[in-house]
Amino acid sequence: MGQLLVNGIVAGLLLALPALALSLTFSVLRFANYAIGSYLTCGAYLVYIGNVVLGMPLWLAAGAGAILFAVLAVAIDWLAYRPLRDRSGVTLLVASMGVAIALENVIRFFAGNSPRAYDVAVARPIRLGDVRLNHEQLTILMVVIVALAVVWIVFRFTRLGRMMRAVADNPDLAAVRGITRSRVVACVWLISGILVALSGVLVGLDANIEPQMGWTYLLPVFTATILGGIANPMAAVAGALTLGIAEEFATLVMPVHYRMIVTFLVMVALLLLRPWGLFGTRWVTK
Amino acid sequence: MTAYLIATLTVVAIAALVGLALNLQWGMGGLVNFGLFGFYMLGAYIAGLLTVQGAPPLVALAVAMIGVAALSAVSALISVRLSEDYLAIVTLGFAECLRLVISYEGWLTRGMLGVTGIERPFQNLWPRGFADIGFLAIALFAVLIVYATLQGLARSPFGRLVRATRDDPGVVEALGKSVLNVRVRVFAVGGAILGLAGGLHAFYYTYIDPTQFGPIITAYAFMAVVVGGRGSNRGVLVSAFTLIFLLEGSRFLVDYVHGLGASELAAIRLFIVGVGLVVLLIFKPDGFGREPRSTLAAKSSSSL
Amino acid sequence: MNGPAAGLELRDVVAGYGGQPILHSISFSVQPGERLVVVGPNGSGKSTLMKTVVGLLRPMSGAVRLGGADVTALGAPARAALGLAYIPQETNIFRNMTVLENLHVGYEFVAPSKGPTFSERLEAVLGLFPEIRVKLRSTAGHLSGGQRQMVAMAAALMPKPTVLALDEPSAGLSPRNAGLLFEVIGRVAASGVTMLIVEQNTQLGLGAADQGIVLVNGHVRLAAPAMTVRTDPEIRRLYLGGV
Ligand SMILES: Nc1ncnc2c1ncn2[C@@H]1O[C@H](COP(=O)(O)OP(=O)(O)OP(=O)(O)O)[C@@H](O)[C@H]1O
Ligand SMILES: [Mg+2]
Repeated sequence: MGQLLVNGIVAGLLLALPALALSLTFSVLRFANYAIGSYLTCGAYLVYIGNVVLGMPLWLAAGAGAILFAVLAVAIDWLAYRPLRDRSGVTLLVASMGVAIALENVIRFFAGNSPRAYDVAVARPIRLGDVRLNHEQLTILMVVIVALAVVWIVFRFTRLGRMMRAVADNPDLAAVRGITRSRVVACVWLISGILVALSGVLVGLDANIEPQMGWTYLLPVFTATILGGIANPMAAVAGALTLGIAEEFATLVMPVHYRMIVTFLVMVALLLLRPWGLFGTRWVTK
Repeated sequence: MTAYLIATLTVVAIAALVGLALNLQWGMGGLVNFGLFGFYMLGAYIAGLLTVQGAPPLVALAVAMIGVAALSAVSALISVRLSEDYLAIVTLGFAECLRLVISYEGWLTRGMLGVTGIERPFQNLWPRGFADIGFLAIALFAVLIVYATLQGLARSPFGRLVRATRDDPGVVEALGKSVLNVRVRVFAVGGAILGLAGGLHAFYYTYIDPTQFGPIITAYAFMAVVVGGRGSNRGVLVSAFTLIFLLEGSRFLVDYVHGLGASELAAIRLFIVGVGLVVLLIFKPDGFGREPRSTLAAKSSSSL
Repeated sequence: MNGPAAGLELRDVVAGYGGQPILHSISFSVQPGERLVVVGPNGSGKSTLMKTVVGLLRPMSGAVRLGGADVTALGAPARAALGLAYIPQETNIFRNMTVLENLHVGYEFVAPSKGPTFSERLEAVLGLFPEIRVKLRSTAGHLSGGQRQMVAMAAALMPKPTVLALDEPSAGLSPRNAGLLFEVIGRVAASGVTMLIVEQNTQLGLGAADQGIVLVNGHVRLAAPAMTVRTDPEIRRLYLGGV
């Protein structure tokens, strides 16, 4: 039981960063980025290049890769999404699907389809009573918690955070209060790019690096985000934890390979019953 | 060479059907379906499994169409109270779950082993050596029927209602029509077409397994609709039989270009599709075709 | 922003939405330190005019000048940095942020680094609106309509603007609170801020103004001293519903 809970929390934390990133971009741009799965994959492979091809230690490769990918995310926004900003939301959805397909196949072309792994030392799992915690899980735990804390502090207490929240809340009013939207948009892509790339590394540590890795996370990430209320970034984290734990406990009654079905059922139930999300305050819009 | 051409044309005809289905759902109805491949896969499996059990192929095909239509309608119902953004993720989730169930419920679907020995309709009608040409004729006939049906539908009052729902759901609600009802029906009709396409897929290959059904089906369909012009059935057909034909036809390059394997070629193909989608949406948002509409509705046109 | 009040001028401005003009060739000017009130029936284009002035809407033709400089090509953030503050008619606060954060956002992106500090401005603004001092930590979206209006006004005043554009500041206020609000507006104006005000309550609005403009169907029907517009029975019968 304790083991299930620990595994569930770790699974939830893995979802937390991309869910936060998705919700962040949604809250500012009102656009659900379907390419987020490919972003995750792309980040994981960039870090793989640093770590395995160039021989950097993983922490360094992760830092460099995350920053590189963040810049790439801004570039993608400039090239693909920005010209479509004034069109209907559905057009942007389809464009993000196009971006996803393109990115994933760049990876397939250069890296092939076979799974890869980072170059890290294998270590013995830690035992706490009858709960086992392996080193990858410990890394996930620490990285995600630190990243979340940083984002939370930026969000709540800094000028940049107020800027992002103001644009998310009321873009026109933010503009007349002197906030330049394009700058906020770039910051949002940078932050979510870093978050997604980091989560790519963590997923790669937890399992393998392969071209499909992000795709399998797409549905859970969306579900976690909707659980939190899609325009509510910090609640997306709570959504991710809930979903991770729910998935883990569902393995008691369902085979492991049906995780995705559990996710889907959670999403359907949610959309039918509480489409504004499970957590916290309803976004004030009246 | 001829055999190669026939094979490519058959694949293109089936892809054209998927494109037409998407054009109804997204082009005319404004509802994004990212789970096309799942519904298509379901159609293939219903048709394939029933024929293997001894059902006549045409009956199996009909059941596939009805089954996929019903499931499509259900997936549209899930997003009852929500905007189209959510429908996109629901359809995607649906498709992924279908693929999982089909992959793992071996007792029913034979799982990863796949279903072999699927019988084609009118198999015995053609002389020896002409089976593939005969099947191509059936596929093209199916495309023709679907095209004619959709053209009729686009010009009917229901077609007008569908476009009105896409352009301004508020107005439709205000007229006392149920937007949900329209959405569900659009999804069901589109689903029937997807079931038909999937069924033809099963018949054509006579063997199906879960690896055959990937996002490339979805990607081609979106490409066909974006290039053809959303809402234009003729545009979808033209773009399917030119663009997808070229993309599919590029498979033969494997034998000629040194150092490019089938998987690299596939990656290039899909990369082109992905980039092409974005570029077209930016620079040619209305595609190259025009939406058919009755003169009455022509005034209330919209660019999106 | 610092320095003397700036004037505001529109010259042959045509503006609208989706290529359809709503405003037709609007020209007027507000002298530095003066107050101009725009009145007119619902849907006549008053809010559209305000959006064009502050830079949320680009005019199809014509020019907007602020303090003598042509700002037509500038966006809303750049105009705000020049000392133009605006309170929209609807959703004029950040509802998911606290009152204090609203005031902070009002200040930090446009206030000059050499000017008064945030806490100095905060004290000054809270002096004008003492009621919101106890609400500083509350989520702005949970305040009452009148309190929100005060927060909106306070946030706009935080950077010490030189030109203030107010779109129906008294909307939703009780007559007493509307009166109090206009008292504050009067005090702010007395400190030399140029004002462009849209007001439904013509008596109150015109009473607080120097000049008046009657806008009907996107045309300036009349421009005259506020006193004339307010008292001329003919004008009131024709344009202001005889109130
Ligand atoms: N965002 C918009 N898109 C399209 N048309 C708009 C938009 N905003 C306003 N309009 C139209 O412009 C016209 C003028 O609207 P505006 O809001 O400027 O009027 P107003 O004088 O402020 O009215 P009120 O006294 O009710 O506030 C109206 O016909 C309105 O329908
Ligand atoms: Mg107005």
